Amino acid sequence: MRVSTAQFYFQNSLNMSTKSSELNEQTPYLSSGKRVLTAKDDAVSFGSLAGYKNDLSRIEQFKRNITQSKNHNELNETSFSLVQETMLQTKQRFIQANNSSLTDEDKQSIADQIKQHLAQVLDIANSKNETGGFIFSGHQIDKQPFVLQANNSVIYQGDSGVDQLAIGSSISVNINQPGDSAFENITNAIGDFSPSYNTNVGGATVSSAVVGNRAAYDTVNFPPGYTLDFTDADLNGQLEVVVTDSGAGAVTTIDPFVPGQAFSFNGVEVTIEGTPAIGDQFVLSEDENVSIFETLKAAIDWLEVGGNAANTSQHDIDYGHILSQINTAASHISAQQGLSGINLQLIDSQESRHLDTNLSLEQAKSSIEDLDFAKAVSSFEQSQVALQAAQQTFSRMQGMSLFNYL
Amino acid sequence: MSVNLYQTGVSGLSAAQQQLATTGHNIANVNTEGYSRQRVEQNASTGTFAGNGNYIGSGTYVQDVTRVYNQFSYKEQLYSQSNLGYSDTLHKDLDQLNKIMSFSGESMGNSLDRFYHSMHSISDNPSDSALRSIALSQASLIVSDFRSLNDNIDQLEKSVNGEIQMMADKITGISFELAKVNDQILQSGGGNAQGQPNDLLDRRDQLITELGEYTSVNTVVDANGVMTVMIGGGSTLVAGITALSLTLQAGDPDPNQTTLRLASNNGQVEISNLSIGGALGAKFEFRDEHLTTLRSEVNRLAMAISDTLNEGQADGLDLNQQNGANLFTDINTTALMQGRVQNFSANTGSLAASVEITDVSLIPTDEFQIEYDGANYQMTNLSDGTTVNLGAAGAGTYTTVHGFDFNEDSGAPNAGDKLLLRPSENSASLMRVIMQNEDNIAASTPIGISASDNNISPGSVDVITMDDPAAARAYVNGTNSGLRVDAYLTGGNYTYRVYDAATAPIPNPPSVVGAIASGSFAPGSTAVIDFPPFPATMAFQIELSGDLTGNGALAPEIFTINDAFGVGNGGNATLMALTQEQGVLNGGGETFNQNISTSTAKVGSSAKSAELVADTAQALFTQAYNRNQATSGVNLDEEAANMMRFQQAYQASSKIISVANTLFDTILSAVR
Repeated sequence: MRVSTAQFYFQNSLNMSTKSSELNEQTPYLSSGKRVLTAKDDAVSFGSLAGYKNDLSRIEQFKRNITQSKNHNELNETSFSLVQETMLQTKQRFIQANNSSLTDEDKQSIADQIKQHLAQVLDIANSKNETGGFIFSGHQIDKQPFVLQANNSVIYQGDSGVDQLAIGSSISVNINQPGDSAFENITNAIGDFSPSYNTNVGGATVSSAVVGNRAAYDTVNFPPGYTLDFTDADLNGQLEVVVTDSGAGAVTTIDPFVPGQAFSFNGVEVTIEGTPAIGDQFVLSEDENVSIFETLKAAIDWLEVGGNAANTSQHDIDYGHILSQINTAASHISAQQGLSGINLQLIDSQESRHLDTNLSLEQAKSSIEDLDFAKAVSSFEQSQVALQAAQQTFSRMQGMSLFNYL
Repeated sequence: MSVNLYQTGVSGLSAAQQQLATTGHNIANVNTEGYSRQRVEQNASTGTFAGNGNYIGSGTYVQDVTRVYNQFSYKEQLYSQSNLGYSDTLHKDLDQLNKIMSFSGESMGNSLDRFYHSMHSISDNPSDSALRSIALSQASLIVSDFRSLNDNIDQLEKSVNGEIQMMADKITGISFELAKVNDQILQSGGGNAQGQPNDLLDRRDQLITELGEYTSVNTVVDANGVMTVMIGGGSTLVAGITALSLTLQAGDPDPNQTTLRLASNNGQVEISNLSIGGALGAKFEFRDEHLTTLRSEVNRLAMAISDTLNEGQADGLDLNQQNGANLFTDINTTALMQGRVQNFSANTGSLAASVEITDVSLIPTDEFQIEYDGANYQMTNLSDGTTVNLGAAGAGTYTTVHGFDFNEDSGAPNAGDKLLLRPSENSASLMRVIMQNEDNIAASTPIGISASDNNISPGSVDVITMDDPAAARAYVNGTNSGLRVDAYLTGGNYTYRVYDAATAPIPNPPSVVGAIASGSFAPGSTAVIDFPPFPATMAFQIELSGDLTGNGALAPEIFTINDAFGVGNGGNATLMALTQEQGVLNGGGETFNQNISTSTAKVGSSAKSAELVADTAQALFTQAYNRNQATSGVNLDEEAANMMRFQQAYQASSKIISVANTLFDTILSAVR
């Protein structure tokens, strides 16, 4: 085919400019080490690449949340473990106090020690975190949760709010434990009712009073505050219990009453140890939960009575109730510590999961995005050689003209 | 005889001279663009009858100087030129758009990430002012990213329009040149047996080649050698010696979408942007398809982000216990709603309309045209051409399936009036952070639901709609002292009641004396309760779902709804932070980051395809050019050889003259 002079120059200059721009285009890829700089480089993989980058930054976010939630939960765990220690010490002191050879002064000094324990638990319950918010107030972090009253009782000013942080794509972890469930809602050792012994000549104890059958527990027709009167109306030598509700309406009469054996009325099951005397009256008030501060206050009050108890057998019964409540409180606190520990375990497992996921995502991202240096450098060399060849060919051929020989 | 010989010599001489002149002309024009090499057609002169039965030849004469020109290979080159102009221009523009989008898109994704990071830290520590301020400034960064991308797109549109204007002016200039050349060719007798004005023809072809870069060109040559030039889909640009000019008209209704007009002394004719071809066609395609779609997508994303975060704010309470105010500009301000509708200038009616967005997840990137046919509004989707009858005029509000309502604000249309609807218009340019005070970030949830410890069934009660958090809280905690919801299974259905928790005593089920709300629902379905109940304005709704069997009438499942506000409550901030993971766009299928990467990938793949097409077009053009050059191009070596040839012919012819002279001298000296 005939080649015109213009065509020759056009072709060669087109070649050279194509080769040199090919060479030029490879520079940004080589210098950044990436194969995909803009979407045009690989539009199909760009979507996946963007997805990997998103996932990686999501994991970064989760890691930040993990650090925060770990700090919060560790603080909670430490606080509970301190409270637990204090409760164990209180229990020891209270056990010591059950020694009839102790004088009133000795009992007062034990009471003073338990007062200090109360102050310590109060202090821990009112602790703040690094930002100055109360950790046991639920959502009301600017209000002190537990306030001591003049009569040594404690009221709760916080709420039940629980905050969560996301530590995985559908996993959140609690970062606080509100004061009410931590310190107030401790199960009553007796059950769902607290007994008050209006008259207790016989020295009997209510050992358990629970709502055994909620389906039969009617609080509307038989409002709680159940008064148990022990009589022997039918004079057959067997005690009966007359149960009346808070509106003085009759509930039922238990006949015969057997000490130590559970009897039930209106869905409530009661067990009484010991033999009541005729005329004894107990009142069962609804009291599902007992606060730890109530328990400590009850212990202090008990000790301060000393030897001046009006009814020594009742005083001993009260001792039993208080000691079992202290026990229950200690194990409740230990369970709260367990909750923090479970949260920390969850956080740990998420953290290691994220490390693994992070690694595999980085690998996947790198396999799409990163430049294969060996291939890139050798193709850069190739382009260089091609450019040189084009340039040399041109300079050789353009010197060849018939006019040189005329 | 010698007289004849003399004349033969002279004819040979003059022919050789013309050959040499033509060869010289070719050599001189080796670098002239569009030059077709010329060659001299020599013919032998007819012989004279010599009397003895022989015809003696009498030399040569030059028939014609023609240019070596193959109109078919030229037309092929012209066609490839237009294609190359088109694909090269489109490739360059899309390349630039790809770079802008890749880098802007990444920056937008990063600022979204940082904003959500700050929301997460607010949910960890809701009372910290510093963290809240950081969130507000991150929100401002998102806004500035959107506005700068929008500005970039506006800038591109302006510069494309400028380039289109320049090209139209160039084409007009060429058109006038062509008319002049046509005139000159006509004057010179154009193309008949008297000889062709080769250089004029070359000049005209060169002009056509230049024109071909900008647009697709067709030519027709008439009997007088005058060429009619048609561009685009067949609109005449040059009719013989009359030139038309190519002008631009502001678009209707969007003035930035300029259209082409061919203007002559008699008036203007519109040419379609779609069939123009060449670089001009590429510019129109870039502006009207790629740029418009991208702008629509960016606007829609801005709208989705504003709406989602504003709705999240509206569900919670801020540090001042007020309902969360809008963080970004509301997506249905009057300015935005009206800006989405554009009137055609030919409208005669007085209708003012607006578009209100009802569901961001359904908004498409398409544009719509509404035409009033005299009775009904017909809405056409301009991307796929489907038409929907919205109904008769005068109804005020028309709901569509695309997540927006078309509202008549005032006035009435006349038959034939048309409106252009762009549902997401201006969302990016008018996006602002309108919250001034960081305390207004609504981190707290207003109310919370807790289940009683004595519940035994796995059902649940959840808040599903929150219309007015402050009113919800006031109702739960002020009007009532907490709400108590109980439910149990009886007679095959779950029966529920809601009481003020302070009611004492709360009667046993199934009595509903004094209940705020009560009812029942079948297992497998759910119950939704509004609070405050009808006819008061609803502030929030709860939903009872799952298994709520309970333990008989005396021990139902019990749930309490309480005030949950606190400065340490970061529940709503958590919900807002989780919107980054939620599918919001495209019917709930795409998160914000996914949407950004989809838009970027789309531009990237268009740019890649344009590059491949440009490479192919370049190869095809080179082929066609080579073929054309093979016929018409000047080869210096060939011309050098020709020069030798014609020089020798000249020398030989001059020898003939000298021999004829010698012969004459011989005869003269013989007779003396």
